[in-house]
Amino acid sequence: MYMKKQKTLHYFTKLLIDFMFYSGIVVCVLVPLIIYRLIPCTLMAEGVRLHMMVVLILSGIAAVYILGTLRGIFKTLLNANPFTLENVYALRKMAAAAFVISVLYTVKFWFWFTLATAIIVLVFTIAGLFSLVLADVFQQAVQYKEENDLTV
Amino acid sequence: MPIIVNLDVMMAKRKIGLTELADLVNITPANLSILKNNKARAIRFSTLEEICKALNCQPGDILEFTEHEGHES
Repeated sequence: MYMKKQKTLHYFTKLLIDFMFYSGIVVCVLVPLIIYRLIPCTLMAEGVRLHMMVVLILSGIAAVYILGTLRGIFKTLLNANPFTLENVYALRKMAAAAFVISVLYTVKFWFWFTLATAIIVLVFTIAGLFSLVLADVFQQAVQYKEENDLTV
Repeated sequence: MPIIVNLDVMMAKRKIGLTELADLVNITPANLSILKNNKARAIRFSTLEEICKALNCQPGDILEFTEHEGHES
């Protein structure tokens, strides 16, 4: 019963990650169209459109990279072998991508400050720190697993 | 590593193969191979007990301590 519940949870998690990954790619590609054709000038000044487009595309690429890396980590979990050095490096790369998004939105402060921007900076900084700590936890787990695998 | 496993020596003395010993000791041949080739990091007492029973020997016949080269005494 527990295994069936866990499999259902894994299935929905995989579905959600895949959906966000592919829709993220689509949205990234459509950003220029959205910024220049769909958003009226009452909501966004003409002078900031180019800057917003650059920030959104670059942060979108970083976000899609995070999701792609997460997909890879999740596959190792489904193969019942998550504690590997590759996952440690993947988590560190995810942290770097999260910090990149924080930096991009910090840059956004200079041309269009909003409260939401400040919240995004804070959230992605915390996400980056969380990923770094998790990478260290995984590294310790890899050492314990190796020790256990080589215990006869 | 300072601890040397002389399992292959005892196995040769008792004329027993890897697969046969693995069956007697209740571990996989892969794990026994890890032990035989000095790749193991640790051995459980229960495994050591089963190996000693199967080979009719003492733990000291299988395990040997040697000083590292350059180790200060």
